[in-house]
Amino acid sequence: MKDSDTSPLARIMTAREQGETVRVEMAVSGPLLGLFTLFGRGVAVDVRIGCSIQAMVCDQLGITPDYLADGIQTIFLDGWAVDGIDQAKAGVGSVLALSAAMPGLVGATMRRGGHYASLRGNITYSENEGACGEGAPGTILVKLFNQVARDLGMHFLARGVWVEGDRFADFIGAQSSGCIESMMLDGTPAATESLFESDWQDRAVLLSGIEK
Amino acid sequence: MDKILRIDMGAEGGPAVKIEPLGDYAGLGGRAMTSTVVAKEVPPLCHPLGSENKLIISPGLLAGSAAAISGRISVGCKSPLTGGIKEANSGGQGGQVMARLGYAAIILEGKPADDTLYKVVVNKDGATVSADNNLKGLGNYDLIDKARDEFGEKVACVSIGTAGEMKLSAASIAFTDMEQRPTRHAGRGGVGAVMGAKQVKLIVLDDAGMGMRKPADPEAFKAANKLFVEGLRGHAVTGQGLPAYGTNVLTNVLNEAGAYPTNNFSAGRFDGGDKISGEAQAELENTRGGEGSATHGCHRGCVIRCSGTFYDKDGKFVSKQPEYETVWSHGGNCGIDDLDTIATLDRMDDDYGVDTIEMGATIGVAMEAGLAEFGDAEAAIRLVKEVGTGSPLGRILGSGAAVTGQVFGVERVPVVKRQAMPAYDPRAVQGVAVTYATTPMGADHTAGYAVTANILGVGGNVDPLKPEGQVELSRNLQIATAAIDATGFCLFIAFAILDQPETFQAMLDLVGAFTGSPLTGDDVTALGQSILDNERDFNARAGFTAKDDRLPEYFKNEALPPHNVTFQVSDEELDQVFNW
Repeated sequence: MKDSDTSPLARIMTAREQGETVRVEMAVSGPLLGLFTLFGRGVAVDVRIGCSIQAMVCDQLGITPDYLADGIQTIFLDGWAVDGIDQAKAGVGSVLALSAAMPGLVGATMRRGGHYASLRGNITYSENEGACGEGAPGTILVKLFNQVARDLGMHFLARGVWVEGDRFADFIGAQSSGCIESMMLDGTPAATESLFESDWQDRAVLLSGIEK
Repeated sequence: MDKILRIDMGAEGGPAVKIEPLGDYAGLGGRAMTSTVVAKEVPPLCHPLGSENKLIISPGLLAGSAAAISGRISVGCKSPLTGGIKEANSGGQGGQVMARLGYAAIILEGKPADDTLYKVVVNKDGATVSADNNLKGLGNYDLIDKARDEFGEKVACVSIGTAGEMKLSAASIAFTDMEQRPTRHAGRGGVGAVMGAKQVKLIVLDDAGMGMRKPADPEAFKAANKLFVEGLRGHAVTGQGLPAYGTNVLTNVLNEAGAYPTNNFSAGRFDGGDKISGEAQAELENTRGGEGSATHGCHRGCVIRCSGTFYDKDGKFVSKQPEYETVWSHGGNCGIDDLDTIATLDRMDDDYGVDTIEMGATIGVAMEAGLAEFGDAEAAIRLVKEVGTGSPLGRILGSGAAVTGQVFGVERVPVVKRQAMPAYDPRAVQGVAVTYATTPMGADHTAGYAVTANILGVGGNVDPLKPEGQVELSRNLQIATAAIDATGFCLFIAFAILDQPETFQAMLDLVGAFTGSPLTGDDVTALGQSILDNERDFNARAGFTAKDDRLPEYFKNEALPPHNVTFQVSDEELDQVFNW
């Protein structure tokens, strides 16, 4: 099996194409465990492609320009380190990873527009790397790391994200009792325990959550 | 720190202790001290395990004072792993306690005539060396338990495990932490083997009755320290990222960049990276709870507290929180995505006293050789166990990646000057690889780590947008790092200093107020260059040439997925790094 076949986005899109989807809505009252792992691997988000990373993050994903400027110091698009967020554009199937500033020399090296950016010159995003349409609908994989996951995890859940079924099962299994107050499965109330009995392999879950 | 403790282990009639004034070594600390002594006193062509080699232990210049995060300690010698000069750096309590005892250096020289094992006790009354063969064969943890029974809970210990006794080239020297556990190590280059060759198993540092070191200008020192601490705590990296997630916070980012060496440097991305990331590690530690779980200092006076404590699912202590390099070396580099396994391997490394980077890289090479499958956690534990027991296979593995690759006929051996590379693939982060290739230490990620180079004014302003800046940046970083390694400051202060001019100024003021001499950018450059000049001169006299400042050939020929990049910095460019 090719790597692209096992990537989170490929698995999610395959499940969606085959209609193997479930909609899960949660109301939560405490800190969710497993958010870092969920967002570290990546969640799929439906967007309109063809705009800059800056516009996508702020206008479509609802992140404030101030947070983008101060809180998101390290950005990767399809694995390439991004310096110019007003120029880089995500295409269909792109992977957008957002991180805070990182420690150490290599952390400094990866920082966007940082003094040490030339040390990773051959993995720096250039305009030719991305494939873009103009405002067309598309799905991208968003990864949130470290403090960014902590700050924006619930923001993305409120918006709704697509996750791999087996990763959703891991996520639900990691929750401590009581932090999920209620849950709806395809619009029908469901007990958290009942989810453990389902087979989530090869399914895509549209997961949303709000804090009560 | 106005004296040197010199112990001749080979003196007639048994080890001889001499306490000397600093003499020519006045004003030196940390790496400046260790590298100067090695360059001046150790014959470059001597055998690293022979009587002519010396082991130098030296706290940083500000250690033992109230200056925040200044307790790092350096260990230097001729390295049995590289054959060149070595400075290995550690946290733990040793730096603070030794500095309060007034010693700028402990120098172990000579070699006993028989196989007696010794312990050294240093306190306010002086130093004693006594034979103690009961310590033979003890791992670091049992050894420190024994030391605690004899000397109490407040002493700091410097020790070797079984790997050091066996004089294996990956052997480390352990420094006890705040809980008196042997979790902090001067890991790189086989410094533990040199201590083993001197037949010193344990050094006990007891600062009872000694006070904190006093600054030349107490008021200015206090004011600068306050601003320095505020700056560190207020910065996103040193005040949030590192305390919350530890150094392992780098895993997700390096993995995403395709720069995370996977399965013995055969790929740049590890599918299980999210499971062993700093974020996952911190969440696991916080869920399990326990004293100092996800946020903890490695020595008193640390205000960043990027370490932690790893407990198993039943709440039993396993090890300190494994660092990024350890999680990588035993994790992604070996295809292992289980944090409990990695923490177990970290504990074993600390107990046997081996460098976690060298050990993980070696297991990766062994896996490539077919001794185990990538991803086989049980096999990895079994192989490291071989090192602790001293089996023939264990002695090969404990001699490092280069020897293991040679013995098993592996071409892909990620070493420079026979020292294993840390957790950044040189093909993806080429500027860092310039430092890997050229540092006198062998592949070492911390040799060019001080991202303060530009603001310290080292080397002037380099245009970071020009590709050719890589060589200049590496040069400047190596100079700045060598200088900071002399102060005892942890290199992680760099981010706050980089971003906040007032924190940078506070650090300069802190050093100036302590020593009584203001520190300037020119001073930093001169100190760093002089350390590197000494080190390179020693290596040249030991037989090193420009050909040793190279990466293994396969980094130029094998493209690294996912970006399919190769190392492209030319030999001619590498040869320019030390032109000043």
